Amino acid sequence: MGNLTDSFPAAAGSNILEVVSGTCDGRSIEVSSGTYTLGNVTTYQNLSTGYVDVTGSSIAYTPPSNANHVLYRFDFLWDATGSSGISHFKLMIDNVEVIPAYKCISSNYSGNHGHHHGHHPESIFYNFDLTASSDDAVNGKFASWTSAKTIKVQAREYTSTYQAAVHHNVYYATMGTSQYTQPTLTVKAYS
Amino acid sequence: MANFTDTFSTASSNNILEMFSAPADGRTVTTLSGTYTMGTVTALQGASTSFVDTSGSSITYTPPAGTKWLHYRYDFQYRAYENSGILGLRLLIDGTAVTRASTGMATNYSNQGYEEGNFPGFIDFVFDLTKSTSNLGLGQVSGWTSGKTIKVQHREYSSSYDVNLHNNKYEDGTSSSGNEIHVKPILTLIAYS
Repeated sequence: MGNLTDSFPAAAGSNILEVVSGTCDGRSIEVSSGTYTLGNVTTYQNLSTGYVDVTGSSIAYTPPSNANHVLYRFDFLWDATGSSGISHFKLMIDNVEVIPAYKCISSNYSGNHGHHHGHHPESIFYNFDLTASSDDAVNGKFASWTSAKTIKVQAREYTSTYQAAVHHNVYYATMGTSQYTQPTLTVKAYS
Repeated sequence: MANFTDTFSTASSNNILEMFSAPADGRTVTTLSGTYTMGTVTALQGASTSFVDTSGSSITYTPPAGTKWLHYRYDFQYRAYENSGILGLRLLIDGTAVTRASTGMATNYSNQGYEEGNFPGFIDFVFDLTKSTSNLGLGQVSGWTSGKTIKVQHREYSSSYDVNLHNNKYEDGTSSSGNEIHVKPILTLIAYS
Protein backbone atom coordinates (compact mmCIF):
# COMPACT_ATOMS: atom_id res chain seq x y z
CA MET A 1 0.00 0.00 0.00
CA GLY A 2 1.36 3.40 -0.88
CA ASN A 3 1.49 6.45 1.28
CA LEU A 4 -1.63 8.58 1.57
CA THR A 5 0.35 11.50 0.21
CA ASP A 6 0.93 9.55 -3.00
CA SER A 7 -2.76 10.01 -3.72
CA PHE A 8 -3.18 13.34 -1.95
CA PRO A 9 0.03 15.28 -2.50
CA ALA A 10 0.51 18.49 -0.61
CA ALA A 11 -0.60 21.48 -2.59
CA ALA A 12 2.04 23.86 -3.83
CA GLY A 13 2.48 26.76 -1.47
CA SER A 14 4.14 30.11 -1.52
CA ASN A 15 5.82 32.38 0.98
CA ILE A 16 3.84 35.34 -0.35
CA LEU A 17 0.86 35.83 1.95
CA GLU A 18 -0.78 38.77 0.20
CA VAL A 19 -0.08 41.69 -2.11
CA VAL A 20 -1.72 45.10 -2.10
CA SER A 21 -0.81 46.77 -5.38
CA GLY A 22 -2.52 49.56 -7.20
CA THR A 23 -2.31 52.76 -9.13
CA CYS A 24 -3.14 55.62 -6.75
CA ASP A 25 -6.57 56.60 -8.07
CA GLY A 26 -8.58 56.07 -4.89
CA ARG A 27 -9.33 52.41 -5.52
CA SER A 28 -10.08 49.96 -2.70
CA ILE A 29 -8.26 46.64 -2.59
CA GLU A 30 -9.48 43.73 -0.49
CA VAL A 31 -6.92 41.19 0.69
CA SER A 32 -6.87 38.67 3.53
CA SER A 33 -5.80 41.21 6.16
CA GLY A 34 -8.41 43.81 5.28
CA THR A 35 -9.52 46.37 2.73
CA TYR A 36 -7.17 49.19 1.82
CA THR A 37 -8.09 52.37 -0.02
CA LEU A 38 -5.22 53.98 -1.90
CA GLY A 39 -4.75 57.72 -2.14
CA ASN A 40 -6.22 59.53 -5.12
CA VAL A 41 -3.53 61.53 -6.91
CA THR A 42 -5.11 64.08 -9.23
CA THR A 43 -2.26 66.50 -9.78
CA TYR A 44 1.48 66.83 -9.37
CA GLN A 45 3.08 68.04 -6.16
CA ASN A 46 5.75 70.70 -5.87
CA LEU A 47 8.13 70.13 -2.97
CA SER A 48 9.22 72.84 -0.55
CA THR A 49 12.19 73.17 1.79
CA GLY A 50 10.26 71.52 4.64
CA TYR A 51 9.29 67.86 4.65
CA VAL A 52 5.74 67.11 3.48
CA ASP A 53 3.86 63.88 2.87
CA VAL A 54 4.17 62.67 -0.72
CA THR A 55 0.69 62.26 -2.13
CA GLY A 56 -0.39 58.69 -2.72
CA SER A 57 2.33 57.18 -0.55
CA SER A 58 0.41 56.61 2.67
CA ILE A 59 -1.17 53.34 3.76
CA ALA A 60 -2.26 52.15 7.22
CA TYR A 61 -1.39 48.49 7.01
CA THR A 62 -1.82 45.48 9.26
CA PRO A 63 0.06 42.41 7.99
CA PRO A 64 -1.39 38.90 8.19
CA SER A 65 -0.61 37.26 11.54
CA ASN A 66 2.07 34.97 10.14
CA ALA A 67 3.97 37.62 8.18
CA ASN A 68 7.72 37.66 8.77
CA HIS A 69 8.58 40.37 6.24
CA VAL A 70 6.67 43.25 4.66
CA LEU A 71 7.90 44.97 1.53
CA TYR A 72 6.70 48.52 0.96
CA ARG A 73 7.34 50.07 -2.44
CA PHE A 74 6.25 53.43 -3.86
CA ASP A 75 6.93 54.08 -7.56
CA PHE A 76 6.56 57.64 -8.80
CA LEU A 77 7.78 60.16 -11.36
CA TRP A 78 10.41 62.60 -10.09
CA ASP A 79 11.09 65.96 -11.77
CA ALA A 80 13.77 68.61 -11.33
CA THR A 81 11.99 71.95 -11.45
CA GLY A 82 14.96 74.14 -10.51
CA SER A 83 18.63 73.55 -11.32
CA SER A 84 19.58 69.95 -10.42
CA GLY A 85 16.48 69.43 -8.27
CA ILE A 86 18.30 68.08 -5.24
CA SER A 87 15.63 66.50 -3.08
CA HIS A 88 15.42 64.29 -0.03
CA PHE A 89 13.03 61.37 0.46
CA LYS A 90 12.48 59.57 3.72
CA LEU A 91 10.26 56.64 4.60
CA MET A 92 8.15 56.95 7.74
CA ILE A 93 6.37 54.33 9.80
CA ASP A 94 4.03 55.72 12.45
CA ASN A 95 5.91 59.01 12.08
CA VAL A 96 9.34 57.47 12.76
CA GLU A 97 11.89 57.71 9.96
CA VAL A 98 13.29 54.42 8.72
CA ILE A 99 16.85 55.61 8.32
CA PRO A 100 18.19 52.97 5.87
CA ALA A 101 15.41 53.77 3.40
CA TYR A 102 16.45 57.40 2.88
CA LYS A 103 17.25 58.52 -0.68
CA CYS A 104 18.60 61.70 -2.22
CA ILE A 105 17.54 62.26 -5.82
CA SER A 106 18.97 64.83 -8.22
CA SER A 107 19.97 65.29 -11.83
CA ASN A 108 23.11 66.76 -13.37
CA TYR A 109 23.77 70.36 -12.48
CA SER A 110 22.23 72.80 -14.89
CA GLY A 111 24.43 75.88 -15.12
CA ASN A 112 21.47 77.68 -16.54
CA HIS A 113 18.78 77.29 -13.91
CA GLY A 114 16.16 77.22 -16.62
CA HIS A 115 17.52 74.00 -18.12
CA HIS A 116 16.18 71.69 -15.43
CA HIS A 117 15.04 68.96 -17.81
CA GLY A 118 15.78 66.02 -15.52
CA HIS A 119 12.81 63.78 -14.77
CA HIS A 120 12.53 60.02 -14.42
CA PRO A 121 10.71 57.27 -12.56
CA GLU A 122 11.92 56.56 -9.03
CA SER A 123 11.13 54.18 -6.19
CA ILE A 124 11.23 54.40 -2.41
CA PHE A 125 11.09 50.97 -0.83
CA TYR A 126 12.04 48.95 2.21
CA ASN A 127 11.67 45.43 3.55
CA PHE A 128 10.41 45.50 7.12
CA ASP A 129 11.64 42.67 9.35
CA LEU A 130 8.91 41.30 11.62
CA THR A 131 11.09 38.64 13.23
CA ALA A 132 13.01 40.96 15.55
CA SER A 133 13.06 40.37 19.30
CA SER A 134 12.11 43.98 20.02
CA ASP A 135 10.72 46.92 18.10
CA ASP A 136 13.29 49.09 16.33
CA ALA A 137 11.27 51.27 13.95
CA VAL A 138 14.26 53.40 12.96
CA ASN A 139 15.76 50.30 11.36
CA GLY A 140 12.44 48.85 10.17
CA LYS A 141 12.42 45.94 12.64
CA PHE A 142 9.45 44.83 14.70
CA ALA A 143 8.73 42.13 17.27
CA SER A 144 5.02 42.68 17.04
CA TRP A 145 2.90 44.29 14.34
CA THR A 146 -0.69 43.37 15.04
CA SER A 147 -2.53 46.60 14.39
CA ALA A 148 -2.38 49.21 11.66
CA LYS A 149 0.86 51.12 11.21
CA THR A 150 0.95 54.03 8.79
CA ILE A 151 3.73 53.88 6.23
CA LYS A 152 4.37 56.90 4.03
CA VAL A 153 7.02 58.87 2.19
CA GLN A 154 7.98 62.43 3.04
CA ALA A 155 10.09 64.69 0.84
CA ARG A 156 11.68 68.12 0.66
CA GLU A 157 13.92 70.04 -1.73
CA TYR A 158 17.44 71.15 -0.88
CA THR A 159 16.86 74.89 -1.23
CA SER A 160 14.47 77.16 -3.05
CA THR A 161 16.84 77.22 -6.06
CA TYR A 162 17.19 73.43 -6.27
CA GLN A 163 13.55 72.63 -6.70
CA ALA A 164 11.77 69.38 -7.40
CA ALA A 165 8.30 67.98 -7.92
CA VAL A 166 6.73 64.53 -7.87
CA HIS A 167 4.17 63.03 -10.27
CA HIS A 168 5.08 65.86 -12.67
CA ASN A 169 5.04 64.96 -16.36
CA VAL A 170 6.46 68.25 -17.48
CA TYR A 171 6.55 67.85 -21.26
CA TYR A 172 2.96 66.70 -21.54
CA ALA A 173 1.81 69.60 -23.68
CA THR A 174 4.16 68.98 -26.56
CA MET A 175 4.26 65.19 -26.47
CA GLY A 176 0.62 64.38 -25.99
CA THR A 177 1.04 62.88 -22.58
CA SER A 178 -0.41 63.89 -19.26
CA GLN A 179 0.55 66.67 -16.89
CA TYR A 180 0.69 64.25 -14.00
CA THR A 181 1.41 60.57 -13.60
CA GLN A 182 -0.35 58.54 -10.94
CA PRO A 183 2.11 56.66 -8.74
CA THR A 184 1.91 52.96 -7.86
CA LEU A 185 1.87 51.65 -4.30
CA THR A 186 2.73 48.02 -3.51
CA VAL A 187 2.81 46.22 -0.17
CA LYS A 188 3.78 42.52 -0.04
CA ALA A 189 3.60 40.33 3.04
CA TYR A 190 5.87 37.28 3.19
CA SER A 191 5.90 34.39 5.63
CA MET B 1 -15.29 11.41 12.79
CA ALA B 2 -13.17 14.46 12.04
CA ASN B 3 -13.07 16.09 8.69
CA PHE B 4 -10.43 14.96 6.21
CA THR B 5 -9.15 18.53 5.99
CA ASP B 6 -8.50 18.60 9.72
CA THR B 7 -5.57 16.31 9.06
CA PHE B 8 -4.71 17.33 5.51
CA SER B 9 -5.40 21.04 5.51
CA THR B 10 -5.27 23.00 2.33
CA ALA B 11 -2.12 24.90 1.59
CA SER B 12 -2.03 28.58 2.33
CA SER B 13 -2.71 30.74 -0.67
CA ASN B 14 -2.43 34.37 -1.60
CA ASN B 15 -4.11 36.76 -3.98
CA ILE B 16 -1.64 36.28 -6.87
CA LEU B 17 -3.37 34.28 -9.59
CA GLU B 18 -0.42 34.24 -11.94
CA MET B 19 2.75 36.14 -12.68
CA PHE B 20 5.39 36.06 -15.31
CA SER B 21 8.41 38.18 -15.94
CA ALA B 22 10.79 37.72 -18.84
CA PRO B 23 13.33 39.57 -20.96
CA ALA B 24 12.50 40.30 -24.56
CA ASP B 25 14.50 37.41 -25.99
CA GLY B 26 11.66 35.68 -27.82
CA ARG B 27 11.05 33.09 -25.12
CA THR B 28 7.67 31.44 -24.68
CA VAL B 29 6.04 31.46 -21.27
CA THR B 30 3.14 29.18 -20.37
CA THR B 31 0.87 30.16 -17.49
CA LEU B 32 -2.61 29.24 -16.29
CA SER B 33 -4.19 31.62 -18.75
CA GLY B 34 -2.24 30.67 -21.85
CA THR B 35 1.06 30.69 -23.65
CA TYR B 36 2.75 33.98 -24.37
CA THR B 37 5.73 34.70 -26.60
CA MET B 38 7.87 37.63 -25.59
CA GLY B 39 9.19 40.12 -28.11
CA THR B 40 12.72 39.87 -29.40
CA VAL B 41 14.99 42.85 -28.89
CA THR B 42 18.38 42.53 -30.56
CA ALA B 43 19.39 46.16 -30.91
CA LEU B 44 18.97 49.55 -29.40
CA GLN B 45 15.97 51.61 -30.48
CA GLY B 46 16.03 55.30 -31.23
CA ALA B 47 13.15 57.73 -31.17
CA SER B 48 11.54 60.25 -33.44
CA THR B 49 9.16 63.10 -32.82
CA SER B 50 6.16 60.82 -33.38
CA PHE B 51 5.09 58.00 -31.11
CA VAL B 52 6.24 54.54 -32.20
CA ASP B 53 5.84 51.14 -30.57
CA THR B 54 8.54 50.47 -27.99
CA SER B 55 10.29 47.21 -28.79
CA GLY B 56 9.66 44.34 -26.42
CA SER B 57 6.72 46.00 -24.69
CA SER B 58 3.76 44.44 -26.49
CA ILE B 59 1.76 41.51 -25.23
CA THR B 60 -1.69 40.24 -26.05
CA TYR B 61 -2.97 38.98 -22.75
CA THR B 62 -6.06 37.34 -21.30
CA PRO B 63 -6.12 37.40 -17.49
CA PRO B 64 -7.21 34.30 -15.57
CA ALA B 65 -10.83 34.18 -14.45
CA GLY B 66 -11.22 35.95 -11.12
CA THR B 67 -8.64 38.65 -11.82
CA LYS B 68 -9.49 41.98 -10.20
CA TRP B 69 -6.21 43.80 -10.72
CA LEU B 70 -3.58 43.40 -13.42
CA HIS B 71 -0.15 44.92 -12.93
CA TYR B 72 1.79 45.64 -16.15
CA ARG B 73 5.40 46.77 -15.82
CA TYR B 74 8.03 47.38 -18.49
CA ASP B 75 11.65 47.93 -17.41
CA PHE B 76 14.19 49.26 -19.89
CA GLN B 77 17.48 51.11 -20.18
CA TYR B 78 17.36 54.80 -21.07
CA ARG B 79 20.11 56.84 -22.68
CA ALA B 80 20.20 60.56 -23.42
CA TYR B 81 21.80 60.72 -26.85
CA GLU B 82 21.66 64.46 -27.46
CA ASN B 83 21.25 67.37 -25.07
CA SER B 84 18.92 66.29 -22.25
CA GLY B 85 17.33 63.41 -24.15
CA ILE B 86 13.72 64.22 -23.38
CA LEU B 87 11.60 61.08 -23.72
CA GLY B 88 7.82 60.71 -23.62
CA LEU B 89 6.19 57.35 -22.86
CA ARG B 90 2.58 56.27 -23.03
CA LEU B 91 0.83 53.01 -22.26
CA LEU B 92 -1.88 51.70 -24.57
CA ILE B 93 -4.48 48.99 -24.22
CA ASP B 94 -6.10 47.93 -27.48
CA GLY B 95 -4.96 51.21 -29.01
CA THR B 96 -6.27 53.52 -26.27
CA ALA B 97 -3.77 55.49 -24.20
CA VAL B 98 -4.10 55.06 -20.44
CA THR B 99 -3.80 58.72 -19.58
CA ARG B 100 -2.51 58.60 -16.02
CA ALA B 101 0.19 56.07 -16.88
CA SER B 102 1.88 58.48 -19.29
CA THR B 103 5.34 59.36 -18.11
CA GLY B 104 8.66 60.71 -19.28
CA MET B 105 12.38 60.80 -18.72
CA ALA B 106 15.26 63.19 -19.25
CA THR B 107 18.53 64.23 -17.74
CA ASN B 108 19.39 67.82 -17.07
CA TYR B 109 20.50 69.80 -20.08
CA SER B 110 23.91 69.29 -21.64
CA ASN B 111 24.92 71.03 -24.85
CA GLN B 112 28.65 70.42 -24.85
CA GLY B 113 28.88 66.80 -25.92
CA TYR B 114 28.50 65.54 -22.35
CA GLU B 115 25.24 63.68 -22.90
CA GLU B 116 26.06 60.90 -20.46
CA GLY B 117 22.69 60.29 -18.83
CA ASN B 118 22.23 56.50 -18.92
CA PHE B 119 20.09 54.67 -16.38
CA PRO B 120 17.16 52.26 -15.94
CA GLY B 121 13.60 53.42 -16.38
CA PHE B 122 10.18 51.87 -16.21
CA ILE B 123 6.51 52.45 -16.91
CA ASP B 124 3.87 50.60 -14.96
CA PHE B 125 0.15 50.58 -14.25
CA VAL B 126 -2.32 48.42 -12.36
CA PHE B 127 -5.44 47.88 -14.44
CA ASP B 128 -8.76 47.82 -12.57
CA LEU B 129 -10.99 44.90 -13.62
CA THR B 130 -13.62 45.45 -10.92
CA LYS B 131 -15.70 48.07 -12.73
CA SER B 132 -19.04 47.32 -14.34
CA THR B 133 -18.16 49.30 -17.46
CA SER B 134 -14.90 49.84 -19.28
CA ASN B 135 -13.01 53.11 -19.46
CA LEU B 136 -9.76 52.18 -21.13
CA GLY B 137 -8.39 55.70 -20.81
CA LEU B 138 -8.50 55.29 -17.03
CA GLY B 139 -7.26 51.71 -17.17
CA GLN B 140 -10.64 50.27 -16.17
CA VAL B 141 -11.58 47.09 -18.02
CA SER B 142 -14.87 45.24 -17.59
CA GLY B 143 -15.34 41.71 -18.92
CA TRP B 144 -11.75 41.05 -19.99
CA THR B 145 -12.20 37.50 -21.27
CA SER B 146 -10.21 37.56 -24.50
CA GLY B 147 -6.86 38.87 -25.59
CA LYS B 148 -6.17 42.58 -25.26
CA THR B 149 -2.93 44.08 -26.47
CA ILE B 150 -0.97 46.18 -23.99
CA LYS B 151 2.06 48.03 -25.23
CA VAL B 152 4.23 51.10 -24.71
CA GLN B 153 4.91 53.83 -27.25
CA HIS B 154 7.61 56.47 -27.04
CA ARG B 155 8.82 59.63 -28.73
CA GLU B 156 11.40 62.33 -28.19
CA TYR B 157 10.64 65.98 -27.51
CA SER B 158 12.34 67.25 -30.67
CA SER B 159 15.07 66.15 -33.06
CA SER B 160 17.57 68.07 -30.92
CA TYR B 161 16.82 65.97 -27.83
CA ASP B 162 17.58 62.49 -29.11
CA VAL B 163 17.04 59.40 -27.01
CA ASN B 164 18.06 55.77 -27.31
CA LEU B 165 16.38 52.88 -25.55
CA HIS B 166 17.99 49.58 -24.53
CA ASN B 167 21.36 51.28 -25.00
CA ASN B 168 24.53 51.26 -22.88
CA LYS B 169 27.02 53.99 -23.66
CA TYR B 170 29.88 52.64 -21.58
CA GLU B 171 31.00 49.26 -20.39
CA ASP B 172 32.92 48.92 -17.14
CA GLY B 173 33.52 52.65 -17.13
CA THR B 174 36.36 52.69 -19.62
CA SER B 175 35.16 52.38 -23.16
CA SER B 176 32.17 52.00 -25.42
CA SER B 177 29.91 49.08 -24.72
CA GLY B 178 31.07 46.51 -27.26
CA ASN B 179 28.94 43.40 -27.13
CA GLU B 180 26.82 44.83 -24.34
CA ILE B 181 25.72 47.85 -26.29
CA HIS B 182 22.11 46.85 -25.88
CA VAL B 183 20.10 45.62 -22.91
CA LYS B 184 16.99 43.54 -23.30
CA PRO B 185 13.96 45.10 -21.62
CA ILE B 186 11.92 43.06 -19.14
CA LEU B 187 8.16 42.69 -19.21
CA THR B 188 6.26 41.68 -16.07
CA LEU B 189 2.58 40.88 -15.62
CA ILE B 190 0.92 40.01 -12.30
CA ALA B 191 -2.76 39.08 -12.04
CA TYR B 192 -4.34 39.53 -8.61
CA SER B 193 -7.68 38.32 -7.28
